[in-house]
Amino acid sequence: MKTNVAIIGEGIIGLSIGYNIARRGERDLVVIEGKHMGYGSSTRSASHFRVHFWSDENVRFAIEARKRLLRLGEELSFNPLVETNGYMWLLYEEALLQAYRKRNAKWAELGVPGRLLSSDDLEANHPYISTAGLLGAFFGPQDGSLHHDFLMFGYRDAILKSGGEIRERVEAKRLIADGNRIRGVETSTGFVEADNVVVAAGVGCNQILETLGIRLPMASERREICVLEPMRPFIKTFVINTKLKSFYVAQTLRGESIGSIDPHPAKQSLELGNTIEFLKEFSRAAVLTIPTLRKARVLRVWSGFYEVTPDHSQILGRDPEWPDGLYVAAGFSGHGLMMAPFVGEVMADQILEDRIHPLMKPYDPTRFEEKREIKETLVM
Amino acid sequence: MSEGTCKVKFDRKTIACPEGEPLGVCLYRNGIKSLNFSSKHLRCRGFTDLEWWMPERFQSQQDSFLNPYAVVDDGISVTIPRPGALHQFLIGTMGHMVDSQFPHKVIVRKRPFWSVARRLLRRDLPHPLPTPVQQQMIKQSVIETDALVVGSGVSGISFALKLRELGGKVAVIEAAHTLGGHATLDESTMQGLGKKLRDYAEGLVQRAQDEGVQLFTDLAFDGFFDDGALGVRLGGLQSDAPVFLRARFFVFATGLRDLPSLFENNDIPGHITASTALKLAGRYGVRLGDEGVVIGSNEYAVRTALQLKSTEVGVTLATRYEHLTGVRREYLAALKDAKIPVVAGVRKMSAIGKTRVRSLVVDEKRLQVDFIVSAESMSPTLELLGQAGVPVGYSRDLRSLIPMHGWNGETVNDRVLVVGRSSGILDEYASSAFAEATAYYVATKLKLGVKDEDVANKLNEAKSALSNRCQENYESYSRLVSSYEARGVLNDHGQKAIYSDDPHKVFVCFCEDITLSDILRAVTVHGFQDVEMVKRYTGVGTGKCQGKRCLANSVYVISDLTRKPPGTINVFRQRPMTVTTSLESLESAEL
Repeated sequence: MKTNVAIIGEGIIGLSIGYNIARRGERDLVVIEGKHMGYGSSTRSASHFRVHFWSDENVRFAIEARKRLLRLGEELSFNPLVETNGYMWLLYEEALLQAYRKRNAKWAELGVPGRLLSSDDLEANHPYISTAGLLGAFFGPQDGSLHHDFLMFGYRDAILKSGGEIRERVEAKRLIADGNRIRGVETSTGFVEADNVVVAAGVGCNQILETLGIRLPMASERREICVLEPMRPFIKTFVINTKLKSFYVAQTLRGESIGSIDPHPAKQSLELGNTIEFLKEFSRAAVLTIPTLRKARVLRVWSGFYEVTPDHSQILGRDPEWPDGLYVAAGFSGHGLMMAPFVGEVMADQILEDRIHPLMKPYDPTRFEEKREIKETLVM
Repeated sequence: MSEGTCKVKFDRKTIACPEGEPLGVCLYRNGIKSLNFSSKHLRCRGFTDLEWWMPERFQSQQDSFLNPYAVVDDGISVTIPRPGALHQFLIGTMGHMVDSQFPHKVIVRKRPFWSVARRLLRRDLPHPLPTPVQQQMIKQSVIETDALVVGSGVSGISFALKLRELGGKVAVIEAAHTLGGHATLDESTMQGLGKKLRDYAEGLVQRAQDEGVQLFTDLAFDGFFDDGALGVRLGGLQSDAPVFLRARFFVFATGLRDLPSLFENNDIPGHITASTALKLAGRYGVRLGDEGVVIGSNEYAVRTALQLKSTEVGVTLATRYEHLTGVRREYLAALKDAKIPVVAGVRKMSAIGKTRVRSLVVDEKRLQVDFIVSAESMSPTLELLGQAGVPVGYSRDLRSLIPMHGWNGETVNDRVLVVGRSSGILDEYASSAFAEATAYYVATKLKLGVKDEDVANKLNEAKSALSNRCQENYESYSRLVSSYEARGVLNDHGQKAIYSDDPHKVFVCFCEDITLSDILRAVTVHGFQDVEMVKRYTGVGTGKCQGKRCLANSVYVISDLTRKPPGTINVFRQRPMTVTTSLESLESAEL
């Protein structure tokens, strides 16, 4: 079969690109997925979004993504359950407090001012948080949560309704290029001829790109995450403990609490699995941060991947040396879900109209060689 | 107050509980059958299972997550978490607009409405609020052994006794308060032994105790992790505590779990599973009522009906099948003697009642009943097998999903074996024999000096025991094992699982209020063909029981709707924890 655009990977990124392409009237579209929707990372996410990054590029990009995300509930046939309950970074060191204060001036300039909260503010408004050793907190009210599955279902539904095709349990085996032009994808069920191929396969990107000798600077890190039995909502925001390995926890609309803690050391892995070590570290941090969680019960644990680039920022678009018609959207370093609504739009711009959005420019794949890396340090 | 009882305050009522009795039992004894409240449908719910993993929750000062299986102390006060008034009003007025997913997935996608709705809904979900508690000293422990047996039923104990005899180190963990498994609830006389099944099981437990087999109660297997296997000592009112399970082999003797039947209003208080009915009536002497219906067509259903009848209650046996199947002759005769009416070929069932079941309409006939017992389908403990990577197939003859394994109980995971009912042997005596054969097999792996021919001999003995006692079961078991040996998965077609035409009233998932209509929409409107996607769309299996009550049923339902064999529906990946475990317990886990 022949198609205009073939997208490899039915995660949030592939679906958002597909949705934006379909929305512009292009029906000649196939999404190829080796397992099922969102298998690798998207369905495993903690489902939160933020605009507060340390690099201006990421802030600007995330602001655009957020704007679109807030609209998607009305555009799609599914309610992605978007809530803006904020992010709260608990700060225990004077230096860090000052850094956030300084950064907040810049955030205000970019249009997303946050608030610095004192311990007293916290005691009054967030009495569940332990203030032991706490100097204050930074609160980003623009940040929030969503339901990753419903967002993907919405995108998926829209693609199917507009005539696009989604092939699940079909593995992309090899990219085929003809001189300087992409020709299509060899899959487990046959060849898909395509004028444009977008690789959005998360941690699987390099495996498929290597069939053309391309390798992105990207490592796969396994992250573990757990969810607690539902409770009446009392944790009002997304709480991050900057002292305890970026421990975070937030309560969903169903009352479940979802949380995680940085692995130490980072586990480079392509195997999904869980450890008792994680559970122990998570529980310890949870009880120290929110003491009433002592009796809360872990419902289940799972793991997923971060595809981490050297500058913790995504790789979008194409390298001019690649065969024409080949694009990537990868290396989101844990920010895929929150960036996705805008990624789809800028990628569709480039694929269909050969137009590069100014906010997309800094993310091109050549930046690592040309030493134009993005300075992102606010990662969790 | 008499000696040996304690007073419990339950939602402002004070009830007396005999000491050592689970709270759920004494509530049922006191006629309180509805233990929680559906936030989506605004109606009372009872429990269907009285098990250690019960997902129902009470709020108390000591623990906000007390389940009705806990044995309570004097003076404890518990309340049922209920949705707030606003929530009730919202659902009450907009209930018809509530979409499939979760109680809160209201169809208000327009921005101003959505932001109001989400705030209101968030305010008062019907869940407990964590109560501040004192830090407790939690003692973790380690069990280190050659073979760890999960489940202390007939097959688990038989395995343990035999392996010990052969010189292996073995420990048995049991999540319930009592040892012996389902057989200790069974008053049926065992064919060929002239002995009650209960006595047989209790005898085995006694022998194991006498011979010093390590036996642990209230200890659940919690999960396989990259860095070890974890168990949890269930604390009830006390804190639970982590237990590290270190073993060369894990032997799952976890039996079969009863599944709630799928009929209209099956969420009604008073609908219980067979093992729950036997536990209440047999072990605790709770009178279930005057009249009841047992749903099922196999030997298990017949035995259940017979035993309930012997507790002086009226019982009717009802089934969708035209005939009873897989029931041995002596039980059919006993059924006749006991004058238990059998209604076969039932198409529809519908329960009626508000806070408890009053009647059951079977096809067109209305029966006055006080209880409804599900005894038709059972499922192996998929959550453990799934974690261990053991594939699950479907056997038409056993009418059950079943883990794929070889003659000796060996699976694709070379550290994991299955024995007993969870492996597909329904006859208890034969399952004992097979478990012993598995012990011989494990003994060779442990290099205990057992000869290969002994393993073969033992297996042959077990095979003839099963074929002599229950040829049908032997044949289905052989089919299962042959598929495993051919590196395949048994994929029979299933049979229709549902007794209803009204999908809105048939509950598949009791934790998240998911009805048949939700699954129907996922399959027919959105075209999802496997459990993983249906789970993501409906939320089935993500509730507090983690799929223990709904996973197998949803597989059967999807199989019904898609006309695909249940074994091909791709049971979703099971993840730890097997039983929810408190943070304070996990925090203390020191590797």
